[in-house]
Amino acid sequence: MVELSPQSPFRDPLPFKQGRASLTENQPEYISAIMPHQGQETALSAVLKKVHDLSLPPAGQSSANKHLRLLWAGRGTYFLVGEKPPDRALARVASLVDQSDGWCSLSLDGEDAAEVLARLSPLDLRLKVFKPGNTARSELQHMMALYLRTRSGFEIMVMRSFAHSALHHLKEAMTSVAAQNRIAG
Amino acid sequence: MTRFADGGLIERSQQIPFNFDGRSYLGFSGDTLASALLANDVRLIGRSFKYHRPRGILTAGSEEPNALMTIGRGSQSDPNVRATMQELYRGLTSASQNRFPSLSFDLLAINDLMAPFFGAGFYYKTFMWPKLFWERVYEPLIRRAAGLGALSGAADEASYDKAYAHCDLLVIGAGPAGLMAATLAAKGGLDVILADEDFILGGRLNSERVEVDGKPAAEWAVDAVKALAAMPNVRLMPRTTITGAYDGGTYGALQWVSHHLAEREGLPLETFWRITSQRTILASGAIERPIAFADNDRPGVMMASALRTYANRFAVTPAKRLSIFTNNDDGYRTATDLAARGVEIACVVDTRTYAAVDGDFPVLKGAEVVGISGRRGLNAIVVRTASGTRRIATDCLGVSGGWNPSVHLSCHLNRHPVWNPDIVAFVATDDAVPGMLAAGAAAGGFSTHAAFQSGAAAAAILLRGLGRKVPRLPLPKSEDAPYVLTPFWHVQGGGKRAWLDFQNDVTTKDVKLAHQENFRSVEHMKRYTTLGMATDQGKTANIGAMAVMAELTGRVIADVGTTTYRPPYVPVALGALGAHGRDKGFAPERFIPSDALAREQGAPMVEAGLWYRPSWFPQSGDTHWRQSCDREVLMVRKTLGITDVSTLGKIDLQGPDAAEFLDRVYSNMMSSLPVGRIRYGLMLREDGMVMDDGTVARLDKTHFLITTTTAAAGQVMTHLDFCAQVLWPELDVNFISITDHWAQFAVAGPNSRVLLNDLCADKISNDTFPYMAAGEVSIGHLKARLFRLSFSGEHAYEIAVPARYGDALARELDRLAQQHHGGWYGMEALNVLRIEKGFVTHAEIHGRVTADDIGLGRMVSAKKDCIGKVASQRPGLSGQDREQLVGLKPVVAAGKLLGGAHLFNLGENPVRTNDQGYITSQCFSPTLGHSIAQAFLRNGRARTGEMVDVVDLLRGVKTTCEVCPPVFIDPEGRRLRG
Repeated sequence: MVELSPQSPFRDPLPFKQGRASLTENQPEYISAIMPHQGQETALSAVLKKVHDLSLPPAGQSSANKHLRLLWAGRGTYFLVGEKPPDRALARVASLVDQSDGWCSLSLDGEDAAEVLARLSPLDLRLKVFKPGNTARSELQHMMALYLRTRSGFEIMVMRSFAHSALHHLKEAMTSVAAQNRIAG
Repeated sequence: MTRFADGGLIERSQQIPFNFDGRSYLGFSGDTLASALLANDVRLIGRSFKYHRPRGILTAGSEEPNALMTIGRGSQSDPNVRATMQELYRGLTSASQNRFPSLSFDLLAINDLMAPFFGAGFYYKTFMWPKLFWERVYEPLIRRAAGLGALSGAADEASYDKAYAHCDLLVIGAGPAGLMAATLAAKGGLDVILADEDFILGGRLNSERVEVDGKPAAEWAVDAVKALAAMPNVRLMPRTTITGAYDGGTYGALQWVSHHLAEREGLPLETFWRITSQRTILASGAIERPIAFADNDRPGVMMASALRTYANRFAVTPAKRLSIFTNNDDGYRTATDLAARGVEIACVVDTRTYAAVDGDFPVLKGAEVVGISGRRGLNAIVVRTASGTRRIATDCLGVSGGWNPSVHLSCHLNRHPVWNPDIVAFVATDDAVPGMLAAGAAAGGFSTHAAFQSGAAAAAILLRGLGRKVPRLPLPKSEDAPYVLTPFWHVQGGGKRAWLDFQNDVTTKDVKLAHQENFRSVEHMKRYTTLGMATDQGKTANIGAMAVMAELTGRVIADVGTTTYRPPYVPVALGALGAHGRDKGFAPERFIPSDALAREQGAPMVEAGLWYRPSWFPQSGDTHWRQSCDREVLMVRKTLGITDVSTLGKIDLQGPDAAEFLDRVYSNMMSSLPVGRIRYGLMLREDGMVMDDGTVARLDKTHFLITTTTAAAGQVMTHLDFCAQVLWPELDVNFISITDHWAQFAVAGPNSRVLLNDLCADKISNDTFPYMAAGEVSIGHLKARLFRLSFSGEHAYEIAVPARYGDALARELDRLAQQHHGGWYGMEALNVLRIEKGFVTHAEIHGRVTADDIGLGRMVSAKKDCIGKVASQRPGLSGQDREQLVGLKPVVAAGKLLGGAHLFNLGENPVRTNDQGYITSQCFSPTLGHSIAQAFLRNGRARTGEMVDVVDLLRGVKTTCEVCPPVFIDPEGRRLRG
């Protein structure tokens, strides 16, 4: 009997470093969309607390525990990201959809991470505006993306079929920013 | 040499060789190309746009109209670069423009002698007839004679960058007002961006011999910039011009990243920024205005303030014996500064009789410069005083007609500046761009002290407005000279031309002519004379011309008004605006899970939206794509073929009201679909036309999976979002795209089930898995989704696994298919298979057809309502006047059918009025051995068996065809269900 082996969404080698920025693959085991049924946000929050010890974050924010993160991912949509799929108990109050292979995830870290991303996204990336734990839906050079600010930089998710383009543009921006910083001294 | 032995903000230890018009020169680090040319006594630097008059450097800044150069060579050459902005670098190559054969001897200088014919409106009056001559003769001739630099003709090799920045306060201009405002705002806790065109921040502090807090102004500026650079909430952006103000506090900015470097490897040439700011301070300074007088465009006539910049900042002067022509006290500063440097001052010609200032040099009050001598370089001026005219030998004339605040950016949202009679100039109005305050010279405060004071005041207002405390910051001590001027715009009388717009060669005569010909609105005058329409946007020209107009019409300048200021403030390379948009940057690429395998097999890829899909899979010996395509079609019909269909839109839809929701968006009934079954569906637009087709699989009572076409996936998603959020927010339904989560492959052909039973752990049969069944199977330990669907007319399935297993599944399918003499088929074969079977794509459902037009009228359910149903029942959207989908086959087997060909009744003249329809899809059918087509034909369904002429007028092909039903193979669907 045949067993199929999984493959990374990224064809090109990672991690990639340029200047003061580094890009690494950050593919979680599970990404699950959780979309509450009408009027069930409070109930969902309660079930989440009970089964995953997570609270339902407000728009543009996320919550986390040791194993899982819950990201606001758009209107009425949350992504549960981490080592586990969502507990089936959640299905009573929300629609659950497996997105583990639908999105690919990269970490862009380092001192220049925001400078790099400023080439590809119109988001206000100032730390006082886009704080660690904040999420945003925005573009990444014509691709729709989900961003999470972390303590060391950003996690960037795009749909899997865009993986190659996302990597290409991020690498190009990293290389250009590193070169520009070299002449800035 | 005209370089002073000491002083200036240049690095004398670093000599820099450069080249101008083929000759080598030396300059210093810190020089601009303009200052280095002046230091090398190069005075003639270009020819004017229209009359090819010899020109020299006029200014020391961004407003320069004359010194436009082509920098670099070949594909790296950059035309129309202002020499006053170009920093010198080792090996810089520059060339003058608009001259032939050489700068000093230009054949087209004859234009200047023909000037009486070339005035404003000359083209409009002269080149009227014969009509064709304009395009073929006159325009090419004029284009060659008049012009700026030329592009190399090769693709631009430079790379460009774009970026976004956000701040609380954007300060435009880093002169005294800008530095003061930025410092106060930054100390008050705001995130500040300070942008300036120059490569050294400080503005006029670097050009004037004044003291600030007891030290030279330039030194004070260095310290102020250092202090700002050390603050984490400040971003300094030298070499960055704010090019435009837009809605919502957004500004365009052009940063020259590597124009100043000899080595640019890996660097963008320019970065185009979009800066979003809560508040803005416009500290853009002022531009000194010329006075128009006879031959005032001769090399050697320069702006007085520019002469100070060259002397004080670059330690350069083109003057050995300098004269000044002024209507205000500022002109004397130039004379004083240069006299202190040992330059002989021939005279100061002051138009005023009462001027209170004086100097240790001859001053002629109540006097005017009425003439110039020296064609390629000034050697004397003719001055008229009350006692008569006299000739004064001089090699350089500094002109000061007063100052115009740089109000440009404050007017980009269509507000006009206001006239301030005290300074006889327009000033920016506060909040003309919401959130923008003007400070310093831009607001009409011309002394250093006034700049500091208004910069601080503007920052304080904005800090308070943003709820911040205003920190204590003492104003630096500096000069506060009054600004005393009497307006004087142009010298009256004399037959010679006096220039207003140097770059577009517009003189006072042209403005008078425009007025004479009744172009009396300032906007009409502008267009008739082309004043202010050159690359410098008339920065040195516009107000002078308005003054002439005011005189002519007996109005004051305030009433004449300004023309409209529009972005960009300076020329912006299209490369910079389109940065990141070249090559792969134009659009992202989406790759299918089997992309690597398809490329390994040599499949050429075709774009479908953003996706790349294999067109066909060539085998050795194939010489034409049709061979591959025909083989793949027959392979599917005889045994089996596999193809990647992951690109089809897949939407997971759930919720208690999911079935109701689908009934409303699909034309046919979906709520009656049993769990585990699939139904074909049509979606209509509100106007009743078909939007998309696809399938709906019911995975559970309240859980559906719908598919869309590849092309319309985004459109359908948007449509569903609109329906759920706006039309029926009461329905409890959730949906999300799962297109990328699943790698999905079609397995089609008589042997498809055999292959699947080899692949899957669970065995399927026609009973357990009939046509239009959906369910789950296992591949090893992996759960997969299986759908019995067919887009080929064959017994076929689609099997889906999570995308990470897509490549592995593709390779396994490839291996198994080969065992059954099957293999991959590409988009071409896929298209032939569906045309043979009579299935439609967006070639048919192109947005102007109804369900009835494509023969699916019965799919608009009579039992329920749906989006588009009512509109689709309007008169004229069904019946015999409509063009209906039919099949076509040529009467002669070899008959050619071409896409886009039109249908005509047999033997009728193929003209528009006889048109009966058109071909939407056509192919050669290897199954049938001849070409076939799908077409729309008027009342087509009733015309089966009729002959029509199919005419392609573009390619000159006419083929007689028989009209037939659009399904060419297996109309009963036996193969599908087998």
